[in-house]
Amino acid sequence: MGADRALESGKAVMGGETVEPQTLIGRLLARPDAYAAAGLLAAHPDFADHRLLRMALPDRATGLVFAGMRFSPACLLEELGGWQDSAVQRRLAGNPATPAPVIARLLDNSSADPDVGPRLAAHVRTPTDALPGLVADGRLATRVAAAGHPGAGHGLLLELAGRGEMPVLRVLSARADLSTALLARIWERGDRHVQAELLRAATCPRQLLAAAAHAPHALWRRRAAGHPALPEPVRWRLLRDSDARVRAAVAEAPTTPVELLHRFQADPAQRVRIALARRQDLPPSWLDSLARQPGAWLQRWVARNPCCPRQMLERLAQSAAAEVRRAVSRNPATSAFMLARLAADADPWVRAGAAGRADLYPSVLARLADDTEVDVLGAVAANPSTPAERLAGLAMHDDRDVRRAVAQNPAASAAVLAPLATDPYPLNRFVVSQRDALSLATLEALAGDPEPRIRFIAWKRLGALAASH
Amino acid sequence: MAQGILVIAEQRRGVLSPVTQELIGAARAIKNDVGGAVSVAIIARDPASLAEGARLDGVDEVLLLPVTADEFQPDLHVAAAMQAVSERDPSLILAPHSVDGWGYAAALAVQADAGFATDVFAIQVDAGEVTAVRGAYGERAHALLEFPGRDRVLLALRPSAFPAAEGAADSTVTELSVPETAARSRHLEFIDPPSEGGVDIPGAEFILSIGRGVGEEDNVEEFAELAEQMQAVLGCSRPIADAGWLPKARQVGYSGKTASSCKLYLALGISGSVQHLAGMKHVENIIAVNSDANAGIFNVARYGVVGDMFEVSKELRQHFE
Amino acid sequence: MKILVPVKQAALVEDDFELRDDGRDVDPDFVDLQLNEWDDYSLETALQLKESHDGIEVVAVTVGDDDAEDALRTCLAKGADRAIRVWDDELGDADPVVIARVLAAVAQRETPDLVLAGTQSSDLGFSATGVAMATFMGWPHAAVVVALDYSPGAATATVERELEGGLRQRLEIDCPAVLTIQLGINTPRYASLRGIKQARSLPVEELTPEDLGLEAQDVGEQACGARVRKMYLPEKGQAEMIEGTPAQQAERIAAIVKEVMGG
Repeated sequence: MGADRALESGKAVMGGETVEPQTLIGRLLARPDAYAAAGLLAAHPDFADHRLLRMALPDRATGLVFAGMRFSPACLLEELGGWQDSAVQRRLAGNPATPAPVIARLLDNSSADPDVGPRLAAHVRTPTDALPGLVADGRLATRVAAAGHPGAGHGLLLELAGRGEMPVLRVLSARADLSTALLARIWERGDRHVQAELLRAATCPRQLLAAAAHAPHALWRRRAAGHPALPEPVRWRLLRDSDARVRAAVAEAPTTPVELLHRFQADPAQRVRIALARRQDLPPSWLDSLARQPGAWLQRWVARNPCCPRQMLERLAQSAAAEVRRAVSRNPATSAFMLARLAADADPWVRAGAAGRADLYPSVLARLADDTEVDVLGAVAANPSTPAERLAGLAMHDDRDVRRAVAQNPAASAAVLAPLATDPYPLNRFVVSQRDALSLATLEALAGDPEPRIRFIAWKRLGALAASH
Repeated sequence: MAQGILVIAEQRRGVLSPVTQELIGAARAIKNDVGGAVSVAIIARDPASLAEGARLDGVDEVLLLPVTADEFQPDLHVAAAMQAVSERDPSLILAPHSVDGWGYAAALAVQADAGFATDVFAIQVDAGEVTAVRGAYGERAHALLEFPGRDRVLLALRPSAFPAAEGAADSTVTELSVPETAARSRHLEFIDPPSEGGVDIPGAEFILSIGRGVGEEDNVEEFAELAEQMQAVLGCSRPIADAGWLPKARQVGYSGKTASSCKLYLALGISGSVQHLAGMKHVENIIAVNSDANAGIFNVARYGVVGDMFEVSKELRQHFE
Repeated sequence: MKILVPVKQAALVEDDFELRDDGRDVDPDFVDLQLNEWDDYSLETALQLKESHDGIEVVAVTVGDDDAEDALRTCLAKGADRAIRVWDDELGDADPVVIARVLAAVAQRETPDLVLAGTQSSDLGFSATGVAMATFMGWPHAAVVVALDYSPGAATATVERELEGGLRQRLEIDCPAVLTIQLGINTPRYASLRGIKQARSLPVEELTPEDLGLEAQDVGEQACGARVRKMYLPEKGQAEMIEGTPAQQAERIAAIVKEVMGG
């Protein structure tokens, strides 16, 4: 999530001071560090220096690490592409970051290693015209991978479908770009499970959908129920299906017009009523009738529903079930006034729900900051409305999870984040290293971190900063 | 020359542990290749009361070794086992790789000057030579072990790896006297696992755990509902607790809770960071569902599903209504 | 008083590894080294005793080559007072029995009042070294300890062992003793950055088995409990991949759940 973003962007920092590319390189030459060098190489093409390349690849073990790492700079992967090392080549073939020229080279010797073929057939940078050649290796794993390749040509897909292999057909049936011809071939060769998946395809013919509504398997009827082009008579039939799972599928399908679902408010199966309660286009009166029915789950879902009117939320906030009150605390329609009351709830999980709300009254947030429960404190520490001096205090909290919540708070300033760069918990420092708002001094501290992945990010950011000047 | 197999039975609270039958099953399977008799040593305050449970197919002799403690005590256990070793001179000793086994097998191996391997899940006997297979590096590799120059080998066998012996046998029962030994530790009591109220990850036998794949907060509810339907305790990985979507008490992993009593762990949309694995990788039955076939969770899982956690969840619900 | 904490630099093996040329172990290029997870907990137990009582010295010891020094530096960074590394190339094939013999010799030299070892190692998981060490020393021992009540100098300690299925056994043990510590007994600390920096310049005492009075036949291959003849990859990857459409996969999962949980 966040980590990937930071590793990819290598965002620069603010602050008056600047760093020079040559100074950074000079520092590394004096004190070599493979991960720092890789960070600089990833920062900017200006750093593509053979000395840094050599430093980043001091031995085979490090080469193996970078060959499989999604955030390795392209120039490093290209360098590794020249290694005559089957383990390195396997990792490169499976690394989505591997650049096209390296993939091309791997394709030239793909027959050498049986494990490389399937990986290349799955690689996004493998060109369409190379797939038929890969499939010729006779391995099922390669055919399965090729069947799922987004760039696979129609002819190849038809041919793969024609072989009638179920694992291949299952992958094909999940493709979003099924032509009518391909769908027909998969239908012809597939078993009933594969056919059920085809009932979801946009290109699924109407007569198949119509037939599915009479199918003995509930699975087929459920699959058909969600199809946007479901013929009206078929939909009517499924609305009255004797199987609750099928009716629930009808209620869940966003393509089912809500007007048709009136009778589901009183459906005998709770599953169907819950499916209804989750829809975000329900009239308030329906929600009201659902919320008055017994069953905490039904109330939980109504309380989560953003179209739930304020009055009803008021009522649900009085529920004896803590999870229902928690759901109210997380509903964007819940007012700051109600949140103030939930913030005083006896259950910490409900208080935590309120504490995470940016629209809380400042006085309520201040009170919650003195709570003793870690979930509540964590939510306060992550809340962008929490004042900076409070955050600075929470950044020193004994609990490492609370400190990390500060590190993740989008409103945390460079000054609040600075002490967290020397947090004893490596994960907290890692989180800090990904934050945009860092002072140069903080980045420099992270550049000397004991954790290689943190140094990689820090040097990448220092490099980006230097290159931008 | 040493000959025969000595099985060290395990008992707790006056009942033979199921692993005892597995040790006997393993002994029976290789008995002819090893040569000699199969003896089962029962070490307890009143071993005679447990003898019947060890008189199973393949067992020639049950040895009763009375000791002065009701429950496992390493000094007495080793002294008693050594007595059986010196009287029967077995070439192979089988002990359980259980918690009590960890408490004495190494001590017995040292005292008996035996070749030694633990966590063994396969035994081979080739022309009288015993070799054993165990896992290494989190089961990523298997290691074939040999015992050069040893005429006696002690193997601690992994529970549930060998078929349990069945069928009663007419084994002889012999009582041996155990030399007086000082017990340097004393059992005080057993403490049953607490059945805490509220969320209890360490005490849960079945955990359904969700990770980043869940995408957004409102989706969590769907899996909370599924967990309830499946009668599982809902757990999560760190990012979910960090986001405030589930309480810290549900977080499994290094900075969270350990799934100590878990028999089945269903991981949905969890990539398998080292952080998370620390809390659950030991679970025997891990089912991992992840859309990324390269997710680290598959390295510790017993069953893997490459797929969408929402689709699998929707379909799974159909089976637990 | 003195607490001896034997630790191990454990190997984490990457997903797609290769074997060494002799086929008897994993190629070290595919290995990441780290202080054994269990030793984080045994060290923490020692450090907490040190912090709550005056005059306790915590000594970390390992048997390992140059690469194992990092494990000791981690212990020093967290607050261990001293570190000892024992090595000689003839220990290259050492198994838990030989390691325990060497550690016992270190204990004889250090005369600690308590030994806190990890229950097992995260790489090879023998669950044997601590108990074997106690046996060579002739000390009482208890394995898989999840709670410890001990006052320095006391004649006994009260411990809880974690048994199968969450059951615990409370027992009293004569001291000095060797305890093998289980995960979960505490929350191990992380070393502060300052501690890590300082630890870089602290001395690590280096010894050979010979320095400890051990003969070649005590530590060589013939002294090992076992020898790895070969390592190999399990026939099928560990995870059994459940194939099929989502409906088929869910059906299989449901069946596994019902089988394991019996319902």
